[in-house]
Amino acid sequence: MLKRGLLLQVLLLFCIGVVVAQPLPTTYEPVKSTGDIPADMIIKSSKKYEVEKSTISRDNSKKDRKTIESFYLSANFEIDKLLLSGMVSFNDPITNYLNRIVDVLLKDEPNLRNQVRVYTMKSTEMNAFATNQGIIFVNLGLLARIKSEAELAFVLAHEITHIEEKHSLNKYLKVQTIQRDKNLYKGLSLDDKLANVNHYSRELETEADERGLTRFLKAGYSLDAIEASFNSLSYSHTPYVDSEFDYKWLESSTFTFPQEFWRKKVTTVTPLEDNDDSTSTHPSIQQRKENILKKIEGVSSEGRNPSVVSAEELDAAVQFAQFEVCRLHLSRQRYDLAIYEAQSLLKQYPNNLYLQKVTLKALAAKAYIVFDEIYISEWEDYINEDLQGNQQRCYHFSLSLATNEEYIASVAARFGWQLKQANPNDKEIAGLTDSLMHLLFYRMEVDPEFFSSSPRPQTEADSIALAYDRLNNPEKYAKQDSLLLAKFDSINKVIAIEVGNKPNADTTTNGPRSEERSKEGLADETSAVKAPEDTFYVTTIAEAKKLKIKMTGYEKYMLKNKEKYDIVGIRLDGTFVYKTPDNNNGDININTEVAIKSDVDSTSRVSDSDDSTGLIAAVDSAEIEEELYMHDFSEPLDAEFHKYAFVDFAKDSAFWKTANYYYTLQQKDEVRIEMLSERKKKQKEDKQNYKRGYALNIDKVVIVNPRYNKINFSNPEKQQYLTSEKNQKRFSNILRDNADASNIDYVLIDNKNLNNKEVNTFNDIAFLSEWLDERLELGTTIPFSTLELSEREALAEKYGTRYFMWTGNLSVKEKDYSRGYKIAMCIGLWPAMPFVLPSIIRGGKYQIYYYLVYDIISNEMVLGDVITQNQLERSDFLNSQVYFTFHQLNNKR
Amino acid sequence: MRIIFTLAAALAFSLSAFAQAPGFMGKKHQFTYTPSIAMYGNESRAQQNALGFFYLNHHIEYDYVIQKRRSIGLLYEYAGYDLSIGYYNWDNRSNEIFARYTRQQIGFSYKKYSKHSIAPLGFYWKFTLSMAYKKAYIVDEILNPSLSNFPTTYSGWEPIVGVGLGREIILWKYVPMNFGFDVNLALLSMKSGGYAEDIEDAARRTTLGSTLFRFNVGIGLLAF
Repeated sequence: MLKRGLLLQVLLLFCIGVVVAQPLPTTYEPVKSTGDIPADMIIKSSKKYEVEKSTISRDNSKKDRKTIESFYLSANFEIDKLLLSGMVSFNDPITNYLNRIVDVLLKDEPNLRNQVRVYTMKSTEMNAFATNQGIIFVNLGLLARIKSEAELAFVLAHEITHIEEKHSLNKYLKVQTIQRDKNLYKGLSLDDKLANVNHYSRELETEADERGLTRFLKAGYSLDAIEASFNSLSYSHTPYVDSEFDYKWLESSTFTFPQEFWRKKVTTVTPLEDNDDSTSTHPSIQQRKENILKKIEGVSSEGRNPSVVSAEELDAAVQFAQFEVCRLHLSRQRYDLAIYEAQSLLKQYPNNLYLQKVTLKALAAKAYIVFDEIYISEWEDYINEDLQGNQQRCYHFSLSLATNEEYIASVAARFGWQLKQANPNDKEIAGLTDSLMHLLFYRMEVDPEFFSSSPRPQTEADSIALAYDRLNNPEKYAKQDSLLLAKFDSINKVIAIEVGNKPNADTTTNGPRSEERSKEGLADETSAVKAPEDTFYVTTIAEAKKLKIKMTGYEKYMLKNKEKYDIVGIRLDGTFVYKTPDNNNGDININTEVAIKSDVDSTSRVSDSDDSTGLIAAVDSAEIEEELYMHDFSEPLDAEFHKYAFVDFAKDSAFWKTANYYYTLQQKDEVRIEMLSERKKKQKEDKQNYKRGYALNIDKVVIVNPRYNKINFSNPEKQQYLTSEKNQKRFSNILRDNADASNIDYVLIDNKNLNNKEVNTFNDIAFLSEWLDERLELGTTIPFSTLELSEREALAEKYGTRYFMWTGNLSVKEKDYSRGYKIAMCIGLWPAMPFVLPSIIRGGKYQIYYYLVYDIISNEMVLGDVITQNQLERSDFLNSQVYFTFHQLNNKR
Repeated sequence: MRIIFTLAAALAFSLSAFAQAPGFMGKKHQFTYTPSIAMYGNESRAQQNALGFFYLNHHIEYDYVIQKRRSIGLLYEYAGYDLSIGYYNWDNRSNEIFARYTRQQIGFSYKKYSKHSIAPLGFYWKFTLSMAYKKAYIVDEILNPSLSNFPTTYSGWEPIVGVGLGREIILWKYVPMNFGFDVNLALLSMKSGGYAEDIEDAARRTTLGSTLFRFNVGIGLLAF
């Protein structure tokens, strides 16, 4: 029986090992908490504070007791904020594994073991830290870099010492002493005081290293890990693996990137140099390493193991961490790093859908960012040469793509469409690709006709074949030829072309979409335009109207401000005619103008107003290019390489249908908006919304983590934690009362009011908190989420609504510096008293109520506002505003 | 007058059908009693007034919230004072006689609330248009037989236009409390002249003085 039991155990262990260590095949499930919610996350902060407060010894001086109380108060509330932030997970395979390592380290110290709890934290930073309450947080960024269990054990042993010796409390007391002591530290400058604190902190770190080492050695872990863990630390500034990067996965036989996109040489990865640690809270890594290596001299490595708990579980944990970190980079707007790490992992796990999605999301996010001309700090690291190793190639490639919004959008759309073809049932990929098509053809207004459907001639044989083809089928190349001629004419200022002879948008370069456009009547409109010769230019808007030439807003603006920009007029191809001694009077002049080359070709300019909007894109991209020129990201020689981005889809009618749909929709919308009735309708709607509020006709809403906070800025040390906690319940009741009064169906979920069995709700809130953080970070620039659509859909289904609401009240007190003036005014100018007196009574108090309602499927904010009232806190104000929020949600118009 | 009120009521109900106003927690109907006080002018010296040195008006109003920041209302106001009138010779106290003045006023009001307020809570300015029926009569005629040549009663209607500023707070979800001030112009009473010389003059001055500039604090009930 015993043998059978043992066998079963072994099999079970083996099974767990297999299940946990199984390589991630094609997708990935994010880490989730399971089991009972730990007491750390259920017990109220005030109760924890009371318990800790009761442990303060009476032997301490009154001043020290107060300082310790203050520490316990802020530490408990702030740590609880972190625990409930949604970034911390428990009882998941990684956290359980970490706890088992702690079991090994503290097997002979049961009392201390009971004090220590380990949680995993969703952070990309390579770090672990301990709190005075006995909690160790291990970041996924650290786990992603760990090579062996022993390395992890060394880190945990270090953190355990911090807990055992109450280092965080001691450090706090030291800081307070230095700040307040009027004898020992009297007369010290701020820098000197800081140096004192840092010195003390370094002492504590050394102590943690040394005492941690004792536990580590006792647990039987191999000694090599010590040096390895310090080495990992000294490479914390680089990705966890320096893997070769190339962009072949984006290329095909018909589409390649210009050679300028490839960085030929990369710098060698070197460790951090932190020899001077005088301003640091930690001793230098080198010093720590030397110190510890000295201590283990003579220690036998016999019988020691790199893994005591489980090597397989470590592998699984590292895999999980690497996958999760990859996505976390996305939500922290480190898109290039996300692409780099996803591509590194894809070498290990080819065709992994999750990693491919991460790559697509990163590319898509970059496309939106470049379009909105947002400069992200990630690029600075590369430009300043702060990065090392193979990641430089990824950044170089990415920045090269970012020099033109059309480059990045085309490439992202191409990759998206490829993924969509490979995964036709994935709604998220379909949605993302659709939004990229919308960006490229609707928002950027790139004409689908710009993209070639035939591959570019690359070899001599190709060129000869093409020449033969041209000779045999001249009508097929009629348009291309005319374009070339027109361009040539424009440059040489010799030949004028007749617009009436503009070839139909068709055939060779354009794929199967001109037919559709002609159906829309656009081609007819185009041919109906009577325009003068190419070398003519219009000098006024009236002139353009007379000639029936449609102009974009930008062109109109330029014409209106001719003097400012030193231009005389605009040609039909959208190029500007600049002032010269000959045309200074602004008269029409055929031969003497100085032309500036535009990316817009001459015939497309005449077709309709939309084509000319390419001019704006050209100018915008020129601005970006100019900005990046300093860093050698000038326009590549093959500036129109992206023209061949969709050659692979030449026969994919769905692709061109989508492209044409968005392109023509844009034109229709322009016309629609220009119509007075539409504009008036919009204005009326806005006015109504302003007057009456919105009427969204939403039946149900989920209220997530309503928060009530009292903040006293006039005395930061007196953060009103306890009052805030007391009022939290009142605020929740206000929400409930008003939701009931407005007849809206609602669910209120709050991770401060859960029982230990509600782990699913805890996970939901964690997911939603992460989603919200990302939304707030990305704003409206990026319309998609890095979090899986399927999870969001599951949440919407679970709660019966896709609308989630975050709301809160802040009661703020600031020092009112104008109070004296107000009192003087009351005395000197007494009739003003009724107006000024309330302000004097109120002091610097004000109340802020905010609410954000999101559709978690479409990622759009449907309702949101921040309302500030200069007044003492009033519950009628809150009731009124909260009711109005719900009223707007479920009101119908 | 009936037509005006009928129209006002019809307007209120039609607006309520389309306005979709949030009100305060869904409650849009409000009844308030607002005593308002105005300071004396020199022209009349009522010594038996309720507050001694002030005119006291009793203002009752029904308000209905029609939009997020707007409400309309019907008002009724009553004021009654004892007056003293110095006929022809103000300095001669023997000629001073006492009279009774009453004013009943009905009209409608329109309130607009400040940017972040949601009616009926918060800061507002208001516009009122009302008709006042004022009545004055001498009460000690018998004691002064020499005055028999002069009129002893006066009554008449008068339009009053007013604007005001105020703030409303709501206590215990049902009890609105407002405070503010208003300026009213009794259009027919705006005549220049010296002291009150006869009963009509006294009534005119009292109407003007008791409505021109007043402070008010009111309390009421907020319902459905």
